[in-house]
Amino acid sequence: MNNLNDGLELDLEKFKSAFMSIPIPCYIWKRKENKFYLVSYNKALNHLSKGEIKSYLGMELSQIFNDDSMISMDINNCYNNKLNYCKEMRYNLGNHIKNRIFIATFDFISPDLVVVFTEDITKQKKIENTLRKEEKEKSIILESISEHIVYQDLKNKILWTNKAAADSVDLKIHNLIGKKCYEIWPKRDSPCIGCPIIEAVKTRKPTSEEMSTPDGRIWSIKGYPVFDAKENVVAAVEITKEITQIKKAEENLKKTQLKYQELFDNSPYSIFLIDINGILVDCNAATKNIISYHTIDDMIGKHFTDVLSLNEGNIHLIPQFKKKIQKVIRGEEVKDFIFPISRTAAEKIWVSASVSLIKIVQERLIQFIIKDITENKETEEKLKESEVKFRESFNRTKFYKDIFAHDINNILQNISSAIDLLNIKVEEITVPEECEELLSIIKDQVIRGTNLVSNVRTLSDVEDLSFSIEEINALGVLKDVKNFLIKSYHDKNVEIMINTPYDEIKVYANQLLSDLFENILINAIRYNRNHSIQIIINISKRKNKDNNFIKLEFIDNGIGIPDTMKEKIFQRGYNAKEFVSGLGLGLTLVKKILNLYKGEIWVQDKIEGDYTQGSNFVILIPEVMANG
Amino acid sequence: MVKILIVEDDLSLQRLYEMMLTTFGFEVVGKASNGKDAVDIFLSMPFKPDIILMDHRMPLKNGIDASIEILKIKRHTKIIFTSADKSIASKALSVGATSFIEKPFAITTLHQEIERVYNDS
Repeated sequence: MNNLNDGLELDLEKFKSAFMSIPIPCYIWKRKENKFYLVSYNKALNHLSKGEIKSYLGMELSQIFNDDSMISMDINNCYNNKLNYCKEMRYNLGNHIKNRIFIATFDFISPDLVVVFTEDITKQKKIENTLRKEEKEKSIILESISEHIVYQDLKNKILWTNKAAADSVDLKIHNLIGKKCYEIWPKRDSPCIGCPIIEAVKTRKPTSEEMSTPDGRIWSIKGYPVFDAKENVVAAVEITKEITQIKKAEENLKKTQLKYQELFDNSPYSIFLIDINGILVDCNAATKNIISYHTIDDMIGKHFTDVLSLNEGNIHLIPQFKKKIQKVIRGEEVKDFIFPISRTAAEKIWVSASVSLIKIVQERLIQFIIKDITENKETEEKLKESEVKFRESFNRTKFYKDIFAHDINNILQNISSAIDLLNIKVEEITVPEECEELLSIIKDQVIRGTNLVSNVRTLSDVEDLSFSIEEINALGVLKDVKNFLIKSYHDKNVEIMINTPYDEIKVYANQLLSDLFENILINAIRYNRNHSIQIIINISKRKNKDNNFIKLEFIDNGIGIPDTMKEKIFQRGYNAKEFVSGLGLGLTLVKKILNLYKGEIWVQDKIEGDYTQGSNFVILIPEVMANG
Repeated sequence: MVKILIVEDDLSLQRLYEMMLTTFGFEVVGKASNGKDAVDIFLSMPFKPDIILMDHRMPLKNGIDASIEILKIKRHTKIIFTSADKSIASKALSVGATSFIEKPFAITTLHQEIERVYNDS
């Protein structure tokens, strides 16, 4: 203050006091020889510069603000133009006034003073910037959201909208401002009936409504009242969202649910819905067709294993059910899951289930669609049986064809070769005994062929027809067969001897008994290389496991049967694993006939341990006892 | 003289082959009624036959299996198959049989076949 000189018209002390008390920092610059010098400053400036300003007192302007020519320019400008003005500016002073923003007022005081009042607005500026930033962010948020936001006055005049609202009608935001909202969206002359904005203003509470526009779109509209400081409603905010797709999806879902319900109610198949814990949540009326000993009300709420009575007799199915359910929960589908269930306590049926995971009102449920396939299953079983029969029939036909092809060709080979040789021998007329042998072979082969045809026919009858069992005198039949064979093989030296103490032997048999004896005896004759064919038949009685049998032993002096063949010779047939050739059908037929009689047959060596000495065919036939 | 081993389970046919072969001047050196006997007889022979007349379907061992074993014993043994089952012809030839005659055949056919097979060597 010491440098304040003359030129001041105000009372110095008053001026000083007033100047020093100005709450904003002030400088006084004095012009001298075309330069400005700091001649005074107030307390506020001293405070702001933390006392540093004191060291600048009396210094020339450019020395103080050497880095800031703007303030020098403004002080010069003020002085030169004798102009008072304000300006926002940023400047630095010393170490304590840095990067601060001021509103500087430049006042010219004639003749050579310029007073600069500086109001520090750095804080306000920061607040202003923050507010501006926040405003921008809010604007971005409002512009980004897909809902339409419309700010309107109490008469539905649009004051502001976001971009989404404008885009929904292909207009710019400024085109909407000042228009009535009902003119823009529903294209009406008056507010919509039930308008949630009007309602919100009226009730002072948020209100919502769904409305559709003429273009077919559906909207969810929410109205919010806007209050002033005195709690008066002064405006309203409308937030609108297009829900056309949601509504359509809801509509479709409703339709689907209705259709499902209709299907569920009217399906001819039983439909079970169980929760993921296995509890039956619902089942349709058709369920009564497959489970009739529970009422539907009884079943609901029970575990499916109880409903299907799996714990009673079908416990082994439970793990299978669990597996299928887990599969379905994993998102896979299960089809044709076949299992039996009890329709009533006494009746079991077969069902086929399709299992899938469905979602009803946010709840995951496992759906079983169950179809009664008992009839199909029975048909399938019958078909299987029929297939087995067909396969057996096919195998039998193949077997007979095979036997015929082999045995008949061998017979023909015998006859053909014998005749060829006979022709040669007849021309030579040198070896009549050989001619006799050849004629004998031809006769044998004719008997063999006849026997083969007869056996095939009888075998076929045994397999296809049912024969009754009656009381037969086996001894009588055996004697008849013996006589027939002796006649048939009259040119061979065949001797058949029957040893029995009985005059009559009654067995349970039938007319096939003669085929049985004939085949055993023909084999004994055929498979014999001896000039004298000897067959001894021993007849005795035998008790075996409380049953009485007649035992017949046919002992021959033929070629015999090796041990490895002793069982196989009876196995020849269309089901046999190994084809045993060269034995004809005789023993196969014998075995079948004995099965029919519940008798037995086996073969042993005539002399134990040496099969080459001949065989002993032993048969047992149930005996008819005198007392019945 | 051509030496022949007859393998045939049909005894009367076996006898007829024997009569035929001797009539044609061949020598029957052995007879077997099944494949197993055939192998045993062949193995026991100090002088092997020139030709084996072999049936296929026989008890104990069939003609194919018997031929395989015989050919293992003597590699170039000539085997003439005689069978009513034509379906085994290719199998018989593939295991090493020299020829196949389907039954029934005329005895002249057998005669010619034996001559052909024997002279081929």
